[in-house]
Amino acid sequence: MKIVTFAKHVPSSVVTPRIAHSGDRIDEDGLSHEVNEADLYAIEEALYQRSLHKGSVTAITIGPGRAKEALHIAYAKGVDQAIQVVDEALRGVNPVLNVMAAAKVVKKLEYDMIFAGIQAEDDLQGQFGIGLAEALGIPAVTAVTEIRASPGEKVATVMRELGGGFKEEIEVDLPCLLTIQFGIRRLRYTPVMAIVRSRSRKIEQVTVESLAIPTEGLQGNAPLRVMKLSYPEDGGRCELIRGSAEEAARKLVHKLVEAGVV
Amino acid sequence: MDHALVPAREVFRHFPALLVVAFYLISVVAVGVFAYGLWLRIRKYCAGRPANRFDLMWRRILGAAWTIGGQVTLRKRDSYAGWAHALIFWAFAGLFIGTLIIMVDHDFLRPITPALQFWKGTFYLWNSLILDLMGVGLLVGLGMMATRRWRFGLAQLDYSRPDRNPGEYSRLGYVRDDQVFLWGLFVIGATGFLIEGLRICADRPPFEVWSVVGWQLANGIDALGLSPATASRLHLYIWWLHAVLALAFVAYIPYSKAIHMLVDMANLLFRDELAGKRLPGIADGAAAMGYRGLADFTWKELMDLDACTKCGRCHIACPARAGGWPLSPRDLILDLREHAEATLGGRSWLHETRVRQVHGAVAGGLIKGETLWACTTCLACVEACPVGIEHVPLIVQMRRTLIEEGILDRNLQDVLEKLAHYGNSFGEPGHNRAKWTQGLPFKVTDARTEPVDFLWFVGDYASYDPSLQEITRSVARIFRKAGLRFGILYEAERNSGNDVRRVGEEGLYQLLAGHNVAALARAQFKEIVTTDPHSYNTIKFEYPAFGATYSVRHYTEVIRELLETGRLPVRRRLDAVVTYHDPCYLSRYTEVTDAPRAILQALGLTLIEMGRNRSNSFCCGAGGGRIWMTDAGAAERPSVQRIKEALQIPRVTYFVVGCPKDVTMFRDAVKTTGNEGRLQVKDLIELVEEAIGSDGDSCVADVS
Ligand code: SF4
Ligand code: SF4
Repeated sequence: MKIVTFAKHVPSSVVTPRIAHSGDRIDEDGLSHEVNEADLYAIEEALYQRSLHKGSVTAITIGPGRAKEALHIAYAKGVDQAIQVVDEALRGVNPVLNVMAAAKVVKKLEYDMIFAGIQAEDDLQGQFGIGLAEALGIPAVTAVTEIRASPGEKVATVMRELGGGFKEEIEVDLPCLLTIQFGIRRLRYTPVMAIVRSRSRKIEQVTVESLAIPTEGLQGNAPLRVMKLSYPEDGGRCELIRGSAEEAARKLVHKLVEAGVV
Repeated sequence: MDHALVPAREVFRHFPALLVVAFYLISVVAVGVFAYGLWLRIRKYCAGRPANRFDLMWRRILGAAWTIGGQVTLRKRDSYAGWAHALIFWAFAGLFIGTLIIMVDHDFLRPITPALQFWKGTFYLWNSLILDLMGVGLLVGLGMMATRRWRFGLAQLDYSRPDRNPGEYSRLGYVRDDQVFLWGLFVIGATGFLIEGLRICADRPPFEVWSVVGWQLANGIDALGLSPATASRLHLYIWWLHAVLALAFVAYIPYSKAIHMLVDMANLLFRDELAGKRLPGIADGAAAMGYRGLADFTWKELMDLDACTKCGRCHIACPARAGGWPLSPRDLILDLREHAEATLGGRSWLHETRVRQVHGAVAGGLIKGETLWACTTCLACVEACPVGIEHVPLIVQMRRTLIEEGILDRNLQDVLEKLAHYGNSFGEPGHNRAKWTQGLPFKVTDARTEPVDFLWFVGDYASYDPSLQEITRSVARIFRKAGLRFGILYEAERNSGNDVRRVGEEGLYQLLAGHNVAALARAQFKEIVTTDPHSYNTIKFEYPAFGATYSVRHYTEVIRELLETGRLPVRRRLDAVVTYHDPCYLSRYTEVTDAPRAILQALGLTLIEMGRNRSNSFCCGAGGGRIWMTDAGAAERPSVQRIKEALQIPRVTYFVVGCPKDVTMFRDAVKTTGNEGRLQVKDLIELVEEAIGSDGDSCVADVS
């Protein structure tokens, strides 16, 4: 079974992001990046499926030069092939461009299934997988929590968890696209050495430009535009009530009444 | 005959020529079997990966000669076994040399010309006396060992395994091997005396009074009413029994635990003094880190496996075993040995039966993951092993394989990921590392921008753990009070990597250590002082591999000096009974055991030692990354066992430690056992501050 997965290189929480002067994006300077966690689950699941059905797993990233690191990690996890779509202009953050670029690349590959993370941590859009399935004309199932594939019969049974513990079982024809829910299986540890070793492995690179994607409608004149980013509002305030136990309790009740809680 | 005048004896007394030939034939066969067995073992070691253990050869030789000659490691902490072994060792060596003398005299010198022979006259008499005494030593030593082994009921000699159910294995082979070895030697020694007695009884050469034991035996035989003729005939039979047993023993050596006589000498000669303290790196371009199979073992490690005598000293010292985890360093070595013997040859005749088949990697297969993860890398096994076996590097190598395979505790995985992202095990942003300093009335110098004398490497726990930060501030206040020019690296400091390396995550270790080395290179300082003994170890012994050699001290060493030179005057002598727990990384690893004790004394405290102290300290259970793992053992936690050990001391009020992880572990143990009222866990620095006074003023007039 041949599986295609994606690894988006997103800012990590180690460094708190700062909003760029333009106000519509975050400043790349000083950021540190990591692989989008949901994508890691998709890759982990793909590797698990490969262990059951043989075949291969390909990982693709779309982003600027640094995004290569996401593929080193994918290699360290155990994927067989890695492709980077080099996007210096939009740095892999434009969902529309990402879908179009991915569709172009995937069309040249053989695949039975495509696993995408349920959403990306940086924009939380959750549209990439669905958009890609649409562009490729294959069925998509979202938020999958369990996969039983029968590549011979070209069909898979997948499970989705609905709210309140309800579950839904879906049968889907292959090839298909599944967006993978967090926690589908435990992420195995990736040793630093494995990442270092995989730095010397081959990454196929194609540039966005070479894919001849129509760029009108992607930047300034796009039908959908980010207008402004803003910092989180200061969270609740914390106040220390001093004094003896009774005194403090009295003050507390007073404050609660004041605040209209009681 | 003139031999009645010159003291001597016939080697083959009254033997027909045919029997003499038969004796030589059997000897050749025995030596042949011995040589073959030895060759099998040597061939096995030669198949191992290279390891450089040929440096400083003279030091090695002298060191090994001292250890072996003085039976130093054997006598340590077990004088009974040590002296019994010393008796056997020296007697065996003496008797062996005695036999060699006869061989040289009779088989080499005599054929050249009898005029060269020296085994006669006065030499013969002294030789007889000494060898008789050696024989007694051998039998007494063996008798002591037999009593110890089969009468004392010692835990270290119990072969049951903590990691298997009783039905899953049989170690009867080990028991038989012990019996054959001990009783075999005993019978050989006893028959040696018997033939001497019979010969003296038959011939009564007057000078043989020098063979003190033989002479008395002859008297005894006389008293039994045996005629000289019968004694003479019996002598022939017993002589053959003795000879055949002795030669069979020679043949038996390389196929049994008796091989320890040779392998262990070599093992002590080639041991690494820094085993465990300085772990091996990873070869450039290695396909994967760690040990997947025997092909990854170095020749010294293969030799280690054969060297084990099953003495069990490591087994009883191990905190993981004591805490009910499925790890015994002895069994780990024995499992690997059985595997190596079965795969690479050079096998003992009597061994463990029903050994598990190995599939896949040795780590996680033959040696279970739980077993490897149980180790606290406390080094007690390496320290206790009388024959220089190096368990800890092996365990870490196998852990590296587990890390590669992703077989690790979930919590540990989280912590490693935090360390990779944030550079500390708490998953806190780097800029919070020096937040603890905000509670100080002064600013701690930033060693990145200002030169200092002491660069204080604070460590993760002391920096981030809110319950330890007051202790950390205490160190800062005392340093300031003494007028030290000290500084810290602020957010440029990372976890030192000591325990990350011992977990087996070598790549992450390299990252962390590389980062620290680079940060240290940008600072100007004279020496490093650490609060954390774990950091101390890796900075001292392992950072030099990054091309960075520093002078490092633990804060207790610095404070001792300050107290002794009067730079820190004790204002209020403390009056309490305390006990001191030696942290593994401060006692066994970096060998700092005097400084903390000197401080306690200077403060006026009464120190009463626990039974296990200094290099024999008992681990709190936190080392080697164990503090990040959650699996529980089947018995009482080591920290709880240790607290109970301390509580046996009458009137003890403080349990003093010198390691931030110890404070955490033992405060928890005191709390969970409900002993808060009886025993208080104190970091040394807290007591120092109590005695020195905690006001912010400096004792030195001019600080900066
Ligand atoms: S280092 Fe300590 S815990 Fe590990 S095997 Fe040796 S004695 Fe046991
Ligand atoms: S490893 Fe060393 S200490 Fe442990 S049983 Fe073997 S010889 Fe004894």
